[in-house]
Amino acid sequence: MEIISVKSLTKRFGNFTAVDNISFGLKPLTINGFLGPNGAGKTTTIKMICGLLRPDEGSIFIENIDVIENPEKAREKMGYMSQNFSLYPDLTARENILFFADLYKIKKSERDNRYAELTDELNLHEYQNTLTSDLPLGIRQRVALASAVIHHPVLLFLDEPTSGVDPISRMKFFDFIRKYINSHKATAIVSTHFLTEAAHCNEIFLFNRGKIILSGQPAEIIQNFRYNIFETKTSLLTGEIKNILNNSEGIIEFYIFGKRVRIITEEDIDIQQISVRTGIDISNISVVAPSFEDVFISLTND
Amino acid sequence: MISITNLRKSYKSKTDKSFVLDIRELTIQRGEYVSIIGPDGSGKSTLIKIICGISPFESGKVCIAGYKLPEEFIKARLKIGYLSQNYTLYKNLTVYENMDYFASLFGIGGKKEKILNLLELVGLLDFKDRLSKDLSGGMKQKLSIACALIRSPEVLVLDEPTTGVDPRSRREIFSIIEEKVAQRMTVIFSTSYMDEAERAERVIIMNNGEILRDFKTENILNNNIYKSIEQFYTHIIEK
Ligand SMILES: Nc1ncnc2c1ncn2[C@@H]1O[C@H](COP(=O)(O)OP(=O)(O)OP(=O)(O)O)[C@@H](O)[C@H]1O
Ligand SMILES: [Mg+2]
Repeated sequence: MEIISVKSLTKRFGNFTAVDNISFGLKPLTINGFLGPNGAGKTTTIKMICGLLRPDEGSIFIENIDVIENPEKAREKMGYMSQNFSLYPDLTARENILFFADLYKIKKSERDNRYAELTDELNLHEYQNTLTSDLPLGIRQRVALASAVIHHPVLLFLDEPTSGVDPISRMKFFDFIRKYINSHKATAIVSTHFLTEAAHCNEIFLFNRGKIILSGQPAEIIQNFRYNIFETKTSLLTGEIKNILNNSEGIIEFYIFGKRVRIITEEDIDIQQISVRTGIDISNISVVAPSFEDVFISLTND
Repeated sequence: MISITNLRKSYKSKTDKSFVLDIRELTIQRGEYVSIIGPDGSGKSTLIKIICGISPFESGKVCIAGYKLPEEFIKARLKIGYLSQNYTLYKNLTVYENMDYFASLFGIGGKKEKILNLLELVGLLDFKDRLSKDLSGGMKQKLSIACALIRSPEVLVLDEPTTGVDPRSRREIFSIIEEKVAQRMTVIFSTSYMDEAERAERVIIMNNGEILRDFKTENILNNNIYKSIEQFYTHIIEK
């Protein structure tokens, strides 16, 4: 049933524990979102599953292949897009993608077909002959994605593929990944700091200080979220009100989102109380639905 | 503080689409807080690099803090703080040493206290003795920002300062940036987070090398058609 299963995985660097005894299983044909603060251990975990970094403890199986014992065997099935991705700056977008195809010894006719298909789907036509070093970041990300999937892997590891990508292209990225998964019977791990992207995942895993502190289906996580969220305008947020919010019983956290402030509170606090405590007129406060960012912020405060 | 007229810069290609940056007029006053957004390849970084004097251009007039570019680049440079999209860290120096080196370059006084304070704000204090090559992606980005923020230039220009930075930390970073704005520093940044763009007082939307829209954030939000800059952006770019 599980395509990837990880048990009691631990990685230390010196006396620092980057990944701390984590276990999880991934179902086939799913997109799995890795979320969490910087340094929480997402990349380290991905590298271990890809067989690029040896864990200190624990086991990793891909179906029945032991990744720690047989990293080569497992790697044939994998496509990996690293966080500071490895494009060759002196090659053009086209040369880069074809380089990866040749690495996997894909026949020329097949290679050219796949290349044409990918340039189409990722909208790369007008950038094919530009050196990757001259491409805008968001376009480089698309070239890196094409390079990671040209050999049609059934396991995709995408470490922050949408960082630095504009909002509209980010949506298209996930459409692409979903389509890829369906047509190639694949499974993906995708890390991201854009929390709205959690909604595109089948399952999300929230990392914090080397541990997975929450996992589950996105809808279920929002449903189980027990706090209230209120919104007001940043222009009303004086130093004095910040103080009140920081020291007020039942207020978990507040943070700025654009020109609005989101206030996360215990369930028993209502809009009336927020208004009374802060002195902000009730007409300037609204009750809003929780977002993944609210979940993230409330769980990673320490 | 910044004035640009009839600016043109192009990248020509025989086979690919050529790119032309074409800006008829752009003026940014002292103390303004401006965000730049736009699709991938719309010219955000190109414009930013020209403002910072590190990219040549074919024609037009570019003036920064009273100095004309490219002729008076050396003088203009001292007035500008620039954070590029690629990290410029020394891999084999520790977090603290990277900042210390950067602070010395610009002759910053009382640097130790400032460095520790900034590291604490961006959440890197616990890692101050770690080599920068051993940091996670987002931690490297935070260190680069901390280096850029240690100075107090007249103009601060940040190219996607929070790429790869987690939701909590990117807000810490913006609160430091906004302290600078409160001290009347001119701040210009690009971002792919629409909520960050919305924090600025003025938003510039670029598309195909041109300024598609340039407006006061409040004006868009107050007319009650768009709830957020994200909605507005999606609406006009998808058209
Ligand atoms: N070679 C190394 N030596 C020492 N520490 C390391 C090394 N590689 C990673 N680390 C540390 O391990 C921790 C986890 O890093 P990792 O890259 O997995 O984080 P991440 O969750 O991917 O963060 P980000 O969101 O910033 O990408 C960090 O504190 C990092 O500095
Ligand atoms: Mg990472």
